[in-house]
Formats: sequence, C-alpha cells, structure tokens
Amino acid sequence: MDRYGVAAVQRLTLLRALLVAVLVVPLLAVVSGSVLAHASALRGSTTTVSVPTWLFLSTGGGAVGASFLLASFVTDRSFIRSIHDWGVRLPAPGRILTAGARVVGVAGLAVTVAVGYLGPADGYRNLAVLLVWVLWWGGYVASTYLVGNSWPALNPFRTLASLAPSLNYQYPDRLGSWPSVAGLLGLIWLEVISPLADDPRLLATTVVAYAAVSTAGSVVFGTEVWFSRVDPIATAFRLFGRVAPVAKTADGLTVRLPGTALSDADVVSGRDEVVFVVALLYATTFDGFVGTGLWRDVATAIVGLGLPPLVVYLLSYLAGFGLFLGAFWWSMAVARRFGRTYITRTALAERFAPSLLAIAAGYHVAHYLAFVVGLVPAVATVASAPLAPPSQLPVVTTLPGWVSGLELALVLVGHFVAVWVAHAAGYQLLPGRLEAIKSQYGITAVMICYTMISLWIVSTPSVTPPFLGGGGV
Amino acid sequence: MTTTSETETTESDHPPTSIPVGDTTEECPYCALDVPDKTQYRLHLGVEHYERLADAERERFHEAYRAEADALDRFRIIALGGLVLLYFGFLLVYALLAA
Repeated sequence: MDRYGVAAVQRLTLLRALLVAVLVVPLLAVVSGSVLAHASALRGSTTTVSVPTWLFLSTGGGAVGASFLLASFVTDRSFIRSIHDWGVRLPAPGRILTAGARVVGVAGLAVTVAVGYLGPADGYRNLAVLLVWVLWWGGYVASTYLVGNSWPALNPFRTLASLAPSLNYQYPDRLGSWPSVAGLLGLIWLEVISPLADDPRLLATTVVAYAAVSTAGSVVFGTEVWFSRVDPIATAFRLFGRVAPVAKTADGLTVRLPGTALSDADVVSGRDEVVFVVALLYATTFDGFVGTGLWRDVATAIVGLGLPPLVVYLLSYLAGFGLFLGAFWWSMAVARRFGRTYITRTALAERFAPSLLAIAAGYHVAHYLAFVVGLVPAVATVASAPLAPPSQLPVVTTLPGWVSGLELALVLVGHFVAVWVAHAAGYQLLPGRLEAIKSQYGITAVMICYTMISLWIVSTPSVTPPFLGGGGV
Repeated sequence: MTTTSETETTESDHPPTSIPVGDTTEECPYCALDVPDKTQYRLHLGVEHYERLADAERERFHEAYRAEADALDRFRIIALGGLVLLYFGFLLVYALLAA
C-alpha cells in the first residue's frame, strides 16, 4: 500500500475510534453517573446527597461490569488491532535534552540528601520530604503513566552508577526479576511502617542507602542488567510507562492511544514480572487499608491477644498480597477453562496482567492528585529558602468539589482501559471470538471486587495507622 | 484439573501450552499449537494461517466462523439484557432511596 493509502486507512481508523468514543462514553457515563454525583461527598462535603456505602460500592462494581458487557459487543478483530496499532512517530529527543535530564536528576538527588540532613527536622517544612513525596512520588510518577517514562534519562541512581566501572559478572538468570519483586515489597513495607514520610534524616539516609546499593549492584552486574531486572523503581516506571501514550523506541518516539501499548506481547514476561505487576497494584491498596477504621479495630484486637504490632502488620501485609496473587491466578484458570485453550496460565497471565497497570495508575491519581495540588504552594515556599523555611506554610486546604469528582472519574477511566486491554488480550490470544470474551470472566470478577475494595478504602474516613507513631502518606 | 501431571511444550511461534493428560487434541500443522476441539482448530487455522489454507479448509473455517456468529448473537442478547438489568436495577434502587 502506498503512503497515501496508509494515511487514509489511519484517518479512517481514527474516525472509527472517535465514533466509538462518542458512542460508548455517554453510555458508560449513564451507568457511572450516579457515582460521579456522589463523588463530592468523598471529602466530607455536606452539600451532596449521601448514598449508603453498599450502594456506592456496588455502583462502582456495576460500572466495571457494564464496561465488560459493552466491550463484549466489539468482536471485530481487525478493528481491535487497528486501535492498538495506531501510532505516530516523532524524532528522538536530542542528546542535550537527555544530558539536561541527567543533570536535573542528579541535582534533585543532591538537594534531597543535603537538605534532608541539614534542613529543618520536621517533615513538611523540609524540602527533601516535599521533593520526594510530593514532586517525585506524587507528581513525577503521574507523568510516567500520563505522558511517558522519562526515568531512564532522569534516574540519578543510574547516572551515578554508570560513572563507576563494572565487573560485568554474569547475572544469575534463575533469579529473573524476583529481586525487583522483593525490592518493591520491601520499599512499600518500609514506607508503611517507618516514618519515612515525616523524618527527613531517615529519608536522606534511605536515599543514600538506595544509591549505594544500586551503585554496588551496577558495579557487579552492569548498569543495564541492574536497572532492568533488579531495581524496583526503574521496573515500576517502565511498566507505568506502558500505560502512557509516548514511548521511546530504537529510532525515536512513538505516540499511541493511552493504554493501547499494554496489549503488546513484550510488556510483561515471566511469572516474576506478573507478580511484580500485582505487587504494584497491591501497594496503594495496603497503604490505604492501614489507614482505615476497620484495620485499626482488627489490629488493636489482634495485638491485644499478645502478638507484637510489627508482626501483625507483616503477616497481614503478606496475607493480603497472597490474596491478591491468588485471586489473579484463579482468574487465569478461569481464562484457560472458558477460553478453551491449552495456553499455560503463566502465558495467559503475561498478557492479562498489564491491564492491571491501568487500574494501578488510576488509583495513583486518586491517591495523590489533591495531595499534590494542595502542597504545591508549600513546595514553592520551602524551595525558596530550603534551610530556613517559614514556620507557617501555605497549604490549599479547600479544593473545589470537582477535584474529587475528577479523581473518581480517573479511577473509573483506569478500570475502563483495563477492561478494554483484557478484551484485546483475549482477542490476540484466542482464535474463537466468543471464547475471547468468556476468557475475561475471571479477570472481570477480580476487577469488580478490586474496585469495590478500593472505593471503600478511598471513601472511608482515614485514621492514623495504629501502633506506628504517625507516618505514612 | 490435572495441573500436576501435565506435559508442557514450548514452541517459539506460539505461547507455551500445557495439555492435561488424557485429553485428545488437535494440532495445527503450521505452528504446532494444540487446541482442544475441531471448532477451535478450524478458527485457529482461519485466523492465523488463512493464506496457506486450501479451499476446502477455508470453507470449513467460514462455516465455523458463521456458527460462531450465531453463538455471539445469543451472547449479545444476554449481554444487552445484563446491561438493561444493571441500568434499571440501579435506577430503581436510587429512585427508592431518593424517595
């Protein structure tokens, strides 16, 4: 086909995609409208009609179920493929831009460590805490799934590690990406149980330790191997970057529809990376769960029986993760059975797990949007005088009601993208169109349960996690 | 399911499969993918290897595809029913609560 023909097909495809968006979105809005109407009640506003929690949660679950039913009407393979293959090429960012990103990354790291040790000792007046938790973990992470993963260029740990010589020892292949799974679970654990978000000295020490470990690892196994297989942060951002529209390829940048890259065959490979994706989804859930009244009551009761609080936290942390993994693994057995296929559960999981990344991204926004917007003035004030910030910081305490509505809408958008990606995965793997739909029964059920759990966590009044002495973002 | 006693095969051009012991399978002559029944076999041939099929095989694929379309129509009616039920179910519950 000549290039005008290709362009015409692309225009037609775009038109069809727009048509679907125009037709499908209002339908979804009808189902989810009631949730959005309730959204402003999330932050304790008294102006909206209050809906019982069970109805609020089942409406969320119903919206996900409805989007699965709607997606099941799209059975045209070439149409699904055309949506996922659509893309435009852009020239690669210049070397100057990449070098600039490296400088910014290393400067950010240096400021974090220096101010962390030398600045004021209380959390939100210290620029290190604000840089890490507000700008980086809140704002920058959002850019990895909303725009594209720029971490390989910005990553200061990588820049520093690449300066050191490498011994290039052979990385034991049987370890796969399991070290990154352990690293991610370890980081989340540390964030939940330690005052990492309040204590700038501890934060600076953790950052220094992280830099030391990644430099040592790079010296032993080489920078490329370390940051692609072991480093949990780089792996998390690489996966989040697959949700984003912009991606870096060998010969430049490509722009695709958000989320469509998740159905590519190379997003996740092996059981280790599947577990990593589930851990990424679990991170936000556990972080939120320890701040609920239910957890406070349960933990207080168990600790009352004589178990040390940290053991209770650790056991619940691992049990919850086991539950998430079990549910996902079960859904793959369902996919195998109803999809009438002999493809192994692991191979199915590799293609279905990426859909969960869209959900994780949606919840990340819900978790951090108001937090980041509220603290941006404080960051600006502290940044102008990092070593002697004013004692009273400007904080936006009352955000307009639509912000929480936007948060909830993004949670739902994340779910809709996830349902669609699972739909596309079914169609790429299975020859039967009906089987491709039926293969999603399990994962749709899991997504519905997950939505209801997460909406409950988001909407329940948050309390300080018990026994930890504050902390947690 | 007999997951413990399954035989695993790995081919480069299709995802790895594991077949429960005792199952009779249909093997694709072009990519060696095993599928559990004749319908899936014909659909697989048509979807993945249409260019290489003989006319008779193509006809069998079209037949299976048409039969599948009928099943899909039935599924769509149920799905539409589910959507209607969800929509009016919630509408009713919200109306009752608002009253």
